[in-house]
Amino acid sequence: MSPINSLRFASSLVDDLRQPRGYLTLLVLLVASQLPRFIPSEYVHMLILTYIIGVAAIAWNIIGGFGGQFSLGNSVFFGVSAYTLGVLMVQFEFGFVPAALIAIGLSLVTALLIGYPSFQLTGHYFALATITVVEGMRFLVRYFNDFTGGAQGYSLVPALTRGVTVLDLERNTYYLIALGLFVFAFLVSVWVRRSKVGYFLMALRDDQLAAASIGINVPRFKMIGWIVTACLTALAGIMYAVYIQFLSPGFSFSITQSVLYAVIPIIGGIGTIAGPVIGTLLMVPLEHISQTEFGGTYGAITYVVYGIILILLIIYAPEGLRPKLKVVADPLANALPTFGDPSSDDDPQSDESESGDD
Amino acid sequence: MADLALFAQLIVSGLLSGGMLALAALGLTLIFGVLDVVNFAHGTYVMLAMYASYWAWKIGGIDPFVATLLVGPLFFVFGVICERLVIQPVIDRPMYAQVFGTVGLLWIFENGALALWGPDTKSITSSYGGFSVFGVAVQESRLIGFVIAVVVTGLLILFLNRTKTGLAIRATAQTRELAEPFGVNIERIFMITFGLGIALTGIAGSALMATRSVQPTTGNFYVLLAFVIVTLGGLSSISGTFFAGLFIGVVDSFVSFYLSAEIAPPIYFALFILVMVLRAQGHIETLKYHLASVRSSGGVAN
Repeated sequence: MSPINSLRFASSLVDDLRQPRGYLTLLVLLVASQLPRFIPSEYVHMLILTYIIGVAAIAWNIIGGFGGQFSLGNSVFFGVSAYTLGVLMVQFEFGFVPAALIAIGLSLVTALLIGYPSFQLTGHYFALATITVVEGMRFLVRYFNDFTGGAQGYSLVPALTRGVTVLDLERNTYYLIALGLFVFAFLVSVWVRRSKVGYFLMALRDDQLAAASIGINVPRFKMIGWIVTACLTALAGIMYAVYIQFLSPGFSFSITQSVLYAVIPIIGGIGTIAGPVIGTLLMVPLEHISQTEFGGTYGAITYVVYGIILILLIIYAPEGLRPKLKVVADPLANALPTFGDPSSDDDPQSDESESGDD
Repeated sequence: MADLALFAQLIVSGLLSGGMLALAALGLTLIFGVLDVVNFAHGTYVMLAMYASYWAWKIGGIDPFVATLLVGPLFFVFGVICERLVIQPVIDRPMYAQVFGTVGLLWIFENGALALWGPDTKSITSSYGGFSVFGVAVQESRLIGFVIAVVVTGLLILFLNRTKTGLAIRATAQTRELAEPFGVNIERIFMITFGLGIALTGIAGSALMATRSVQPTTGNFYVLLAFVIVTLGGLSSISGTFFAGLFIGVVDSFVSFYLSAEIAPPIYFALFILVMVLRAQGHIETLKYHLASVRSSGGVAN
C-alpha cells in the first residue's frame, strides 16, 4: 500500500465516521472496550475466544468471500503460527516479538506452499486440497512429537515461568488486545474491500476468464488475498497461544474449526464487511454459553442447529443473515444525522453497511 | 526368506484392508460421477453406518457382516431423504452451495452423534479368528470384508451395465443435457444414485465395524481417505476406485510398518494434491491419450 493510497484509505474512514453507521460502530466499540468492568470474568473469557475466532472468520471472508476461493483449510495457518510461537518461546527461549514475527513469516511461507499448487485447482477441488492439508498437518504434529508434544498437546507454561510478560497479563488486558485484533482484522477487511486488491478479487470471483481478459493477473491476486488471509489467521493463532497457553493438535489443526471459519461468514453474509462480524457475534457466544451452561452435549446440539441453519440459508437465503438485520438497522441509520460536510454523498455502497455490530 | 514372508504379509494385509477402503469410497465416486456433487458429509455417513452396525451388535447381537443386509437398504432410504431435502434444492446452484450444503449435513451428523452417543470410542468384540497360508497370517474378519467389497463392486458394475436404470445413470453421468431429451428423468436418477451411493456407504461402514472402532469424529478420516481414493481412481470410475483403494491399503500397510501409522495420511494426502494438480494441468489426460495410442497402435500391428 503506497502512502497516497493509505492516506486515501484513512480519509475514507474519517468520512465514514461522519455517517451513522460509522459513529455507531465507534460507539459500540467504546462500549465493548468497557464491557469487562460490568460482566463476569467467564464472559470476558468467552468474548476473548469470540474475537479470536472472529479474526479467523474475517480472514476467511477475504479469500473466500471477496475472492470466491472456498478454502476449508484455514486452521493450518492458525495451527502453524500457534505452534511456531510456542516451540520458539519454550524450546528455544525466544522473546515474544521475534517468535511472533517468525510465526507469521512461517504462516506466510505455508500459504505460498499451499497456494502455489492449490490455486491450479478451482471450485470444490480447491476446497478438497485445503481440507486435506489440515488433516495432514494434524498427523504431522503427532508424528513429530519430540518437537510438538504429539497428541498430548503443548504447554507454554515453561515460557511463563521464565518470565515472558505477554504470557502473564490480566484477563482484562487480554480482552483489550483481542478486541484490538478484531478491530484490526475488520479494518484490513474494509481496506481490502475498498482497494484494488478487493475489486480484482471480486472480479476474478465473478468470472475468472473475464477478469484475466481485462488484464488482471489472476494467480497473483489470488495469492495476495490468500496471504492476507493467512497472516490474519496467523494473528488469531498467536493470540490463542498467548492467551490459552496450551495447544493441542486436535484444536489447532481441527477440521471443525477450519470449517467454522468458513461457515461463520456464510451464515452472516458472504463477501460483505459486516457478514463475518455478525456471524461471529451471533454464533460463537451462543455455542459457548450453551456448552458451559448446559454441559458438553449442548454445545454439540448448537452445532446441529447451526448445520440446519446453514442448509436453510444456503437453500432459501444465500445472502445470509445480514439483509435480515438491515431491515432493523437501516431505518435507524436513516433516522440519525450525518455530521460534517454534506459532500460525502458519493459512497452509495450500502452493501458495506457495518450495522448490527454488537 | 523372512523378508519375503514379511513382504507378502504386508501386501496381503494391505490388499485386504484396501478392499474395505475402496468399498467405503465407492459411494462417493458414484455420487460425484453422476451428480457432480462432492459430498463432504460422505465420511459421516460411514460413521453413522458404523454406529448402526455397533447398535445392531450391542442390542440384537447381530454380526456386523450380517448387519450390512439391514444397514444397506436403511441407508438407501436415508440417502433418498437427504437428497430430497438438501441436495436437490442446491443441485443447480453455484458450487459453493453444494459444498456448504453437504458441510451442513456433516455438522448435523457429527454433532448429532456426539450429543447422542458421546465422544467415547466404541468397538465390538467379534469371534472371528485367523488362519495362515504359506506363513502369511490372514484375519478372517478382514478376508470376509474384502470378499464383500469385491462382491458389492461387482454387483454395482453389473447393475450399471446390465439394467435400464443403470444405463440411465451412466447416460446422466456422461452428458446430463443429452440424457434428458432421451427420456431420462434426471431428478429421479439423481435421487436413486444418491440413495445408492449412501447405501454402498452404509454397507461399507457396517462391515468396517468388524475390524475398526468408531467415534463421532471418525467420519473426517474416512471422507478424506475416500477423496484420495476417488481421485487416484480417476474421479468417476468404479473399477478405478477399487484398485486405488487396494493401492492405498498397501501403501498404508508398508508406511505404517516401516515408518509410522501417523505419517501415512500426510503421504497420501500429498499424493492426492499432486494428482489433482497434474489432472488440472491436463497431464493425466495427455498420459491417457499416449497410453491409448500405444495400445491401439499395438492392436493394429496384431
